[in-house]
Amino acid sequence: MKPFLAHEIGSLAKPSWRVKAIAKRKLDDEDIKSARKWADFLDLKNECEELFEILRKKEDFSSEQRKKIIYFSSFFATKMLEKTGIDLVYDGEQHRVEMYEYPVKNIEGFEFKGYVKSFDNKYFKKAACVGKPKLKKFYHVNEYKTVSSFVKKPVKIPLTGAYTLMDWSFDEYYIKNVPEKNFVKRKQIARENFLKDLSENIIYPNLKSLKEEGANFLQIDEPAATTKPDEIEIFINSLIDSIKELHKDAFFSIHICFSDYKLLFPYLEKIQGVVKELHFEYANRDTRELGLKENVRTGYKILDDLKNFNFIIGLGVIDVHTDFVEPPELIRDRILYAYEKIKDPEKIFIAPDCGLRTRTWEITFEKLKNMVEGKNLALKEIGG
Amino acid sequence: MKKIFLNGIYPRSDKLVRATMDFERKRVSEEEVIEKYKEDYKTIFEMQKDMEYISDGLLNWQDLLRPFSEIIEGVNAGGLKRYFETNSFYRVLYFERKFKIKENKIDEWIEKYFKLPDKDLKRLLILPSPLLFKEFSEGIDLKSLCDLIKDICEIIVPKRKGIVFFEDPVIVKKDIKDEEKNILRKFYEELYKKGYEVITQTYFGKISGALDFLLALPLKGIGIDLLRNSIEDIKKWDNGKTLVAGIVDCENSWIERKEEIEELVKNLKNITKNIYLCGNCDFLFLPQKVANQKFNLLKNVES
Repeated sequence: MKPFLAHEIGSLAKPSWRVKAIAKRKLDDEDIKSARKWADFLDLKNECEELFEILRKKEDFSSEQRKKIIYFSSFFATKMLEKTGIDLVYDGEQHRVEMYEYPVKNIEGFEFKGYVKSFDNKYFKKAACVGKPKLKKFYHVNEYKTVSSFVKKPVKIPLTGAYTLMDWSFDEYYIKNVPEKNFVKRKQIARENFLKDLSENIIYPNLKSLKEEGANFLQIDEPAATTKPDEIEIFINSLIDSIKELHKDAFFSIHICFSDYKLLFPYLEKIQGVVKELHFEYANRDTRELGLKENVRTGYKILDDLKNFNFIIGLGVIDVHTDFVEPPELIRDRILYAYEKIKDPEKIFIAPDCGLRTRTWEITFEKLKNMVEGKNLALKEIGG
Repeated sequence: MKKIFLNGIYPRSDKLVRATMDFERKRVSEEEVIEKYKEDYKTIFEMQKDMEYISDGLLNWQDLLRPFSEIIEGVNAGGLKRYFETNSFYRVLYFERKFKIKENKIDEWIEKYFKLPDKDLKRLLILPSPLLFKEFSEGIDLKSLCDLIKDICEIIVPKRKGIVFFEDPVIVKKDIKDEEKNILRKFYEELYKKGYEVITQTYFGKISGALDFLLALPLKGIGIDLLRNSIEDIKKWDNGKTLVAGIVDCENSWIERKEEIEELVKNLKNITKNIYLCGNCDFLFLPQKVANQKFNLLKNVES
């Protein structure tokens, strides 16, 4: 592995011309201007004539044209990430609605029930499992092929994990099939059965299909992992059921964020050797001051515990919830602090805390460019 | 009168959800959002027309604490914190060293957050318990919070007849120290002395560790999450207290069979006849269509 290998985590914002076209809303001149601006910046003008021809219509796009628009937003996003200089690239979920709705739409046995509040005026469309989950298709293969066709750099594909899919869904199927009178026990058994089926029949075949297409970097996103402390063990088991033998010749990373990571520690040994990288969010908990002192790098204290395990540390060095662009020197110090603990630069990967979907592309680009500059400063510092 | 409570925050209709989202994206005007709110309030009051205590579903409460950031000077809503083991998040309230209730805003605030279709009706005055408030606040201790909530009750109760209905998952989720229990005991005694009727609804946990403490308080009633607790767990019920039975599952879209609920109610009546039915926790964790089905089920249960 490269020392301090740099990657992104998953989502990026979707360009306004892509959002409006897919939502069947009329584009305005600003949308088209923005597409042209990014084509110029990324030096893609000559490859985008077809896109501009389609966008000129502004509305009433055919289904074929909408597919092309998604294709081009994937092209732009991948090229934008490539230009930042990171080592593993992706297209920031341009093919997906978002990380829950997209997979669920591709699985039989789920039925959307309506909006459920996340916070403030933010909602997600929550589905119920109403039958045994069955894959409609391998839902990330086309995305992988498309993104790979754009770049020479290795591509990383993130995929929503079984535990998160289960925890974010209602269950009307498994609960009915558990002959247990005690409701708490009944729910527990139902959830275990639900999770096992999702791991073995949905996530594993998807990962296998990606591996067979040549994808070597696979990231399982599990933001719900620590939501229910009593279920950490079944979460860990679900990872093993999802990956099975695939870890022998593919690189697996787990991404968890905004969680109480210490809850995972008693179980992490079980996935050593199966999962290579553990990526958590750190920058959100850190100060913006430069330096390597403990009272400055407050967000990275958990490394003292993590260094005792045999994982590559996926180090969140960019706060995704602010437009503050971290200077390269701050990134450098966050990396060097981790290096002092971990000692091996090949056992530290650097990335943002989470997906950058809530930031504009302008801010995203600046943040990631600085992340790469910070990495280079850190390498220089350690004589790499 | 149906002995049912529409407890906690109720979900907004799909139309209102879309309007609030579109408003944030500047696609609709504030007036259009207000219109959608009015439609939702109308529906929610109609749903409760045979009930003794009415709630407006707290439809405009972003979470159980947020309205207090508007009425207390020196309090700001900050970062997100997960609401127990759900996929919903609250904003933590940060208290500055000095804070006080904005006296000149009280009437407007009550009109906004404690709506009633008819002022003669009795209102379910849903509030976060001191422990719940503490769980999602920074910069304030439990004693000061108790004093603050008591002041707030003194402002609301004279203007809205009804029951003070505290939501308290914390008391069944965490170990409460004796020192904290003493503070809470004093708080509830003071409310009792003022003549307020108070219910504390617990959810998300086992009642066993908290029941003796709650039964000894001068409460009108105690709410129990009956998905996590059995009849065995509440056998020592004090017959003088109302049992607020959280009997439908507000964490799952599966609709319970009416016969099952009726059977459970029948068994609960061996413990006490003084029962009100409600959701095991806020209906908020369900889409509105599902919540309506569950609430209608409660209304149709023979109790």
